[in-house]
Amino acid sequence: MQGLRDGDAAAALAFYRRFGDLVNRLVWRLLGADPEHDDVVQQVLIQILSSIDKLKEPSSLESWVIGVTINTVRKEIRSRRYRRLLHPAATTEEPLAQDVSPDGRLAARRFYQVLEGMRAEHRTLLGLRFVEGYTLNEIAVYCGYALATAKRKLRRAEMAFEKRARRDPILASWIEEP
Amino acid sequence: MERRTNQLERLGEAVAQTIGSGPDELRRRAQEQALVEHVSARGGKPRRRWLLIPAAATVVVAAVALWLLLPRKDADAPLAFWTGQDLQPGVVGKQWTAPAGRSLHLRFDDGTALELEGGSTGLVAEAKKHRIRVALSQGALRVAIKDKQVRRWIVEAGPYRVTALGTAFLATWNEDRQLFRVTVSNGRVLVQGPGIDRQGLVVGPGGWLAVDHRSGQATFGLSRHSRRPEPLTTPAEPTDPDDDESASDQEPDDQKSSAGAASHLRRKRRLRRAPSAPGARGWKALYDQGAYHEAILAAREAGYAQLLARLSLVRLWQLAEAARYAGASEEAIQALLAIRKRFPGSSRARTAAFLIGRVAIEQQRQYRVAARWLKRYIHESPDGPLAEESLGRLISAYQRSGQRTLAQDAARRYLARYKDGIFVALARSVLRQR
Repeated sequence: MQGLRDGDAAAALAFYRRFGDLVNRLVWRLLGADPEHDDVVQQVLIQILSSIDKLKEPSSLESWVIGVTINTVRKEIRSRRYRRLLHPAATTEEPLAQDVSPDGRLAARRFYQVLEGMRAEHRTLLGLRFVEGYTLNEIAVYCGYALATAKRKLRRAEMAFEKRARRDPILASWIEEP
Repeated sequence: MERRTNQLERLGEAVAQTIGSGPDELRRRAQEQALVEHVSARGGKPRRRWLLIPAAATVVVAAVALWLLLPRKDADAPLAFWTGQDLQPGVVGKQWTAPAGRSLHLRFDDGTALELEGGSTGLVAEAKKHRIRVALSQGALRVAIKDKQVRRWIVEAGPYRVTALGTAFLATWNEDRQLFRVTVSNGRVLVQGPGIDRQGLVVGPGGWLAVDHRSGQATFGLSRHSRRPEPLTTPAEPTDPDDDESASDQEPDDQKSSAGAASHLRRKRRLRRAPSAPGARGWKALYDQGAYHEAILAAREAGYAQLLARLSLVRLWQLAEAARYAGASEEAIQALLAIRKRFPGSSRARTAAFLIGRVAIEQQRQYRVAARWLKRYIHESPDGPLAEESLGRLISAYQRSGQRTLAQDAARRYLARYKDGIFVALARSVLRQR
């Protein structure tokens, strides 16, 4: 912690080795194999390092890292809305890995396409709950909500997603009753 | 509502499985590099943002103007250096051989001193303001870096690359015997090259790493006669309640080192910051720092067998990770076996079987042993998240141990199950062999 505050490169390296995977996974799953993934990760890391002084309790470092990551991704989603107005083709999709089943690839692609049109808050909540698999309690802590608020917001996000997903034949087959 | 949630969970799982956990190692290395560069460039000044706001615009304008006027000139500016006792101007790319029994000294403009030991050969391949690269083709090179924050120092010793993160160290390369060794007396270095995990290995103060390039065997240890290490980070991490080994991991001479400090200032600094010698920090703290080989040294000092017997599942898993990342294959397998023995019903016990197979292949080249463990994983978790990778690696393990029939059998099973899998090419090539 002190090393990070002092701007020690070795401490930054150690920090990356401890939290790099976590930050990468979160950004990757919230934005979905995004072409600007590395830039967003860099933004998160810089944000963490530049605001490390705000962390009062070192033992909650991991929660704090997750919280900063979520907030940065949320801001990135919002800023893209504006960027898209100026550069409509700015957010092209990075091809997903080839070593997975075609059904999975298709579902993932449609999933993120549907999320693309949703509010940043709903999008991150759905990503955290269903792709990353966080519990409601964890989401409440990381997003700074009361548990009831997290529950309510997530329910709204689910409804919004379902409404859109039903219009997509691929996603509809996943969310409809068997 | 419940039904919808379940369906979304199923979809989310499929999405997670499809996209994985992030980009490949190459991109992560670039991220790591970019972060270190960012931090090095930023330095460690305390910030008062509200004071800086009025100045920010001026600074930005000045920076843009400078950038436009002097594009990249500064970063690429040469760093002067001199050689020998008569301080002849150094020439980039010129090879030097130190006379037998006498060292050749190189001094850089920033105060950094290099000492090419008698009979050794090397050259300065690059000497720029932000990056200095020295190639050692034979012998020993002693390095004492002065200005660690600004410049990146790289020593290439044979096929091995040592990146200094602010440091004094000795790198040796024996061309005839293909032996590499680095001994760090101060700071840290990142070592990359054959026989070392792709991520590289960080060697800390007092540590050494030796690699036999021919056999790929890497060994490391702690030099008892090394200087007291520079403090790296604050020790103020609270004791983890789950960390039941923390007390026994403490080195008793911690207080002695601060009492023996020469000056009040140094004493004050040592009291404020902890030393990062392996024994003094506890393996878990070192693991958290990413200093994996030091974590294993600390675990050995604390009694590896006792740790295996009493650590919780999570800690055992971390110990196994530290050992794997440090290239300590024996310790890694011991920790993974302990997980299987002490927590037999857990999912990590099943994953441990896969990891033992992987360590046996990658670090020990024990292909038959690896095959047994990979088969065990497939048997225990036929639909597990690593089933495909296990079967793919099983083909490879059989093939490399010369068990062709078994390799072909595994390849057929693989192709039947994973038509678009990542080991398809390997499976097909195995089946083509007659």
